[in-house]
Amino acid sequence: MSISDELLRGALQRDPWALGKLARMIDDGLEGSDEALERLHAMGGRCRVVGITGPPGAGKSTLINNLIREGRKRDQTVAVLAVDPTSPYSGGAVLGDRVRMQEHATDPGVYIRSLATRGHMGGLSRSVQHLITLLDAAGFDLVLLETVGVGQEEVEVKDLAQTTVFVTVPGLGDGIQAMKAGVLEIAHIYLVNKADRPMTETTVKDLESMLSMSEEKRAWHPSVLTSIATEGTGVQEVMEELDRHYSHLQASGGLENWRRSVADASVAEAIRGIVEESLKELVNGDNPEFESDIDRVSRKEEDPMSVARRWLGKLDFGKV
Amino acid sequence: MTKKIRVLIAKPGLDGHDRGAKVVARALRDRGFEVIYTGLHQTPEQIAAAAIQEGVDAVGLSILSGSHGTLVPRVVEQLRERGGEKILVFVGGIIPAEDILTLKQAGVMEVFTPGSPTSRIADAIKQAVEGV
Ligand SMILES: Nc1nc2c(ncn2[C@@H]2O[C@H](COP(=O)(O)OP(=O)(O)O)[C@@H](O)[C@H]2O)c(=O)[nH]1
Ligand SMILES: [Mg+2]
Repeated sequence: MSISDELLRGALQRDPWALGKLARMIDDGLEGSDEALERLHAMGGRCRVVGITGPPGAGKSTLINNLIREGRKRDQTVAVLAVDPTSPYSGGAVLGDRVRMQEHATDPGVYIRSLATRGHMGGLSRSVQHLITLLDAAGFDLVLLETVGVGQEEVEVKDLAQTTVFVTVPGLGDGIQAMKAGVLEIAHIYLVNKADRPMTETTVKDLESMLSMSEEKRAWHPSVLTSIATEGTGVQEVMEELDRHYSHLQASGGLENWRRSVADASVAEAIRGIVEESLKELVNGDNPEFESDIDRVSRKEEDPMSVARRWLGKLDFGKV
Repeated sequence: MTKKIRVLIAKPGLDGHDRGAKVVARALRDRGFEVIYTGLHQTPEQIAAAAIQEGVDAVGLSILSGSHGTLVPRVVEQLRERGGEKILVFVGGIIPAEDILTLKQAGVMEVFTPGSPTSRIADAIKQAVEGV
């Protein structure tokens, strides 16, 4: 099936219906989505991608609501991808980030899409990279990517976002200590939100001292900011720091590195997807030869590794 | 893989508590649905715009305020205006029996009054979306 030109044209004009439809096709991996992505990939390459990560309840969605407003004040078009975890038990999810952003729902310059991780590692949905391709091609000036992450879960955000903001709250100092060192290496801006609460200064100092320890060879020195997202306080400063980091990327060749890292992550992910698909077909289908190999392993006539290697050589990945 | 069903749950109008809406949201999640929750005090425009952007199969409206007679048809109309005529609309809340037929005539798939088991809601959506 061929993707209709009308749908694609609509998406490129940021028509919400076309975007919603295409995003759904891509997220579900429906027929036509590969073709659409092939065409979309050739366009765009202009948008700003900012990752907002941090523990649940830190105020990421509320912050994003404010960043949308700031972006719109500057006459930028803004898109949001908000990722929440899929329940491992049911495969379902409640996606509640949008609650904080509904004041922008009817603004034609804003597009918001919630998505579930769908069992994907890394705290990001497999389709996030493709949805960024869509939004970039559609000409959004700013794409904000919200993802829950503590510990090393958000490693993938850094592959896809040009700038990563880590949001935490006062008193989570111990929590931050306990986190894997990874967190202190991925973010470019640290934000202590809920600065209306006690312990804000302590938490800022804790973060600053931890950053100064881990910061040997980096050209960009992450700063620690504070905000009260519910009141909009400190948001202007976040926006300015985002600008400062973008200028740094432009001046240091960081944007080129980012493009490479996105390409790298996307191709690796695509290969993983194809291999997984072929594997699923093999395991679910009833290929008598495969079944008899499984029998041989179960009877200990052959070991799993040798069988796996033989089948990897045999699978026709190009077909998928 | 069976296709994931995506549902948007919204509370239009002025009434101020969303316990019921959240119970339904969680029940649908437990049936494997992806549920987008949009919170309290939503206008029909906001609900329809969100449903279109999110690419959902169905919209569930929770209404306790008694204003379903005006709010529900406006959501249906807004959805149509934005190209979402295929999106199913269901309603939950305190709806007098005599209003149910009117709502259905206005384009509502089903009405669930208090006490409806959440499994019935999930089944009805699944059936309507997957056409089985
Ligand atoms: N006191 C206070 N509460 C906040 C602040 N920012 C967000 N919240 C509240 O924290 C809760 C979680 O916010 P949310 O943006 O959904 O957090 P997320 O899970 O990180 O996206 C909500 O009830 C917000 O109203 C803040 O600066 N101060
Ligand atoms: Mg959130």
